[in-house]
Amino acid sequence: MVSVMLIRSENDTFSRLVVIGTSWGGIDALKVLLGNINTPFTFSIVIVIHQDRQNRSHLSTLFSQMVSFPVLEAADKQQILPGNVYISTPNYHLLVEQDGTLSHTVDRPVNFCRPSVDVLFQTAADAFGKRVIAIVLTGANQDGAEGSKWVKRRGGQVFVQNPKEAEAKIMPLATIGNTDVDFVGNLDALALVLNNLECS
Amino acid sequence: MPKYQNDEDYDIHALLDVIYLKWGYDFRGYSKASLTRRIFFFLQEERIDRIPELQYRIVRDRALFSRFIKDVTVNVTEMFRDPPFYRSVKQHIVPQLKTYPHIKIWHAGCATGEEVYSLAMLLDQVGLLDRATIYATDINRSVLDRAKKGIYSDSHLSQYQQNFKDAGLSGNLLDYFEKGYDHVIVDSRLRKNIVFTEHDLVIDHVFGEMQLIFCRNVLIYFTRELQNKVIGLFTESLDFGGYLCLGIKESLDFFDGRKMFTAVDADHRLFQKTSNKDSSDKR
Ligand SMILES: C[S@@+](CC[C@H](N)C(=O)[O-])C[C@H]1O[C@@H](n2cnc3c(N)ncnc32)[C@H](O)[C@@H]1O
Repeated sequence: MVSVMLIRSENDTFSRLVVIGTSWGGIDALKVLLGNINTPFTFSIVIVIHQDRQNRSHLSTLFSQMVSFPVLEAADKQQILPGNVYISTPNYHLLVEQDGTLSHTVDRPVNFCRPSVDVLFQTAADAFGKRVIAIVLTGANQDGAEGSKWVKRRGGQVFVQNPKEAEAKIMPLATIGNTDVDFVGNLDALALVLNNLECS
Repeated sequence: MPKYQNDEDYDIHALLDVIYLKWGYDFRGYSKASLTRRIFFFLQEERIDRIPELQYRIVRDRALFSRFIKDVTVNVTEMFRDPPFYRSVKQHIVPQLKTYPHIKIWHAGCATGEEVYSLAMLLDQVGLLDRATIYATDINRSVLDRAKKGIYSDSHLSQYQQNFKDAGLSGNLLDYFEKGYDHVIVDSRLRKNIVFTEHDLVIDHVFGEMQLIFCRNVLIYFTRELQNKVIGLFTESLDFGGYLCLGIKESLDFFDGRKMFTAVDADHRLFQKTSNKDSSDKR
């Protein structure tokens, strides 16, 4: 039994790695985005969301009740599996390793943030280059703008929530100003683009 | 499929090999994403353009290597990190510690010492400090020197005072410090039973019979294989009935000998060694 499971998880890698960064207003935005994704899907989603450090993340439970796919709090050295969503833990940077696992560090905040979207985006881009799609949603700081540039440099794509729709525009605007982004759209349009990945 | 994604990965791998051969420090089992990030910060700091150049120089320059250790390890820490964790230690571990005439405690990867003094304050409040010998170790000598001095800038003080309260301690954090101009100094009463020494969890051996081991936010920097080895070292160092406390993102789930432990508070990562025999089926 055990060996069967190992073989499965080794071959079962995601088609694309979708990394999402958000801050102020992020919970509501994610509800809409995740709620509009068709199942099953073959990509994986890893999310960094800025939260109050005192709150142990209960977001995974919250989102799990809304959608039919697994939404998990990222565990250390956990294999990123297709069809799953992983969410950051407050007070820890979330990183992507080249072997397709997740890892953590308590290193200094970046852009005053821990977890930082830039750290997630950069490590994802280093590890999976062209297979990475970065999405920047609502937020009231500039975290994610540098990381998005990195994603582009490594051949990935960057999507941004339409600043007009975003509860806080600063984060989407910072990324648009910093990077040659591939797509700007409302949450339902972003979900549509993700759903279309399955056909391409 | 090639083993590495790009040339940089070969460079880093070669650098770590060379460091091991020359200096005997083994970073090969560290998780790469964080380590790579730190190595690139180090290159910037040292104004070295490329990893092969660092590799060439680090073999020949001991001072450069010392700075490497200092900079690539992540030493960020705080007093009473995760305050509820300390409440749980008080509730679940302190009662048994009280039954021992003498307690030995090991803080592995203590960084600049904030966590060590946090536990010392807690021990003081439950009347155990005088009965305890605390070994505080780290791979990074320069943070140990700072831990020993026990001088902390007061820029985080209000956060720490809040943590102190949230951790369930009584009185005021400042009862344990002398106030300086822009810093605070740990009271000598708190330090007298603490021994700070260098110890490398990857290379060095068992430390002694401990009743309590803290190793928080260190294992996250290791791959599963290395975690397994290091937790094995802790298991050997623990007395029967002794406790192992990990960071919030760390667990024993993938440890071969996990059946030797019982989770006392799984949420806060408090484990007790309840068996001396490794009866678990190896994966
Ligand atoms: C993030 S700090 C953790 C500090 C404290 N335990 C806490 O949780 O706040 C990690 C520490 O582990 C140390 N470390 C890293 N590798 C080590 C090794 N091989 N042996 C001993 N300590 C190590 C680092 O030097 C660093 O000080």
